[in-house]
Amino acid sequence: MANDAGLILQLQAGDLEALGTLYDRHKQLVFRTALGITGDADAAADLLQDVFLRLYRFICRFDPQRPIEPWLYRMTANLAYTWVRRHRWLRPLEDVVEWLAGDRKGSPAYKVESDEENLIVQRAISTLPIAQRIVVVLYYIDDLSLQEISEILEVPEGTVKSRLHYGRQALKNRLGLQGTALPDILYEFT
Amino acid sequence: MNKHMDFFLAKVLNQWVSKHRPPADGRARLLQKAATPIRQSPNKFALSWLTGQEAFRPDIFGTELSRKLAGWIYLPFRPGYGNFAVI
Repeated sequence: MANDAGLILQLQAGDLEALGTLYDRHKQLVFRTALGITGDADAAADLLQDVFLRLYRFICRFDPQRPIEPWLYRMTANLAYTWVRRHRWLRPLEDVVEWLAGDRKGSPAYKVESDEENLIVQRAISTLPIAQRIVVVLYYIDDLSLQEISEILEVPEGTVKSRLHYGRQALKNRLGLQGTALPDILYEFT
Repeated sequence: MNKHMDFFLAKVLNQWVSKHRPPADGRARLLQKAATPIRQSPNKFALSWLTGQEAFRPDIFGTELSRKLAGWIYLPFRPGYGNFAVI
């Protein structure tokens, strides 16, 4: 199977199947990042489409010799940032509409979200300021290094470190992990 | 302490995102959208009609701000005046 550079060249030549292959290869990366930042599975699915459509639209400007992952991370973070900014005031309204509609309770997405643990994590993440949230997601969910994150977001490494520090502190507070509240985890990982 | 906290947060966050999957029909939808040509916007259509050019050069109105301004200028001339969703 062709590598990413080969697929980009094929796509630049107009082969749509190459786009499909790139999508299959990198969809998890984009979806997980978008889900982590937005906290909304439907929005993450839409952003997944948008990211790959943009890749297709701007493929002529793409250098095949450069890795595709940093571009995908950057585009996902940018689009997710825009989504969060647009929807921050709509969120409470959407909850009311869903409550009034009352037809979502049978859906699998609702069952996953209604899991108490998931809900706590989702709420904790969504209360972080967006700049910290993006760094936390890239660091913990995508397992990127501080240097990689600084290159993707085009900010100094010190800024990434500081955002991660404050994000971590805020998550600790919101997940109720202050002090010595980690016995189970310590057993599991030591 | 930070190391344990990092392990814990990574585990909890990964568990949370792993419970969701990308839509199964995502690839088909993407390829369908990619194969559909981009519809010419009403602004560009109006400009090409007013300037007498067959195809108005999209690069001139490439930025978000200029697209918006063009939308406002030509809004009253459109058949669906008042429909702000088309901006």
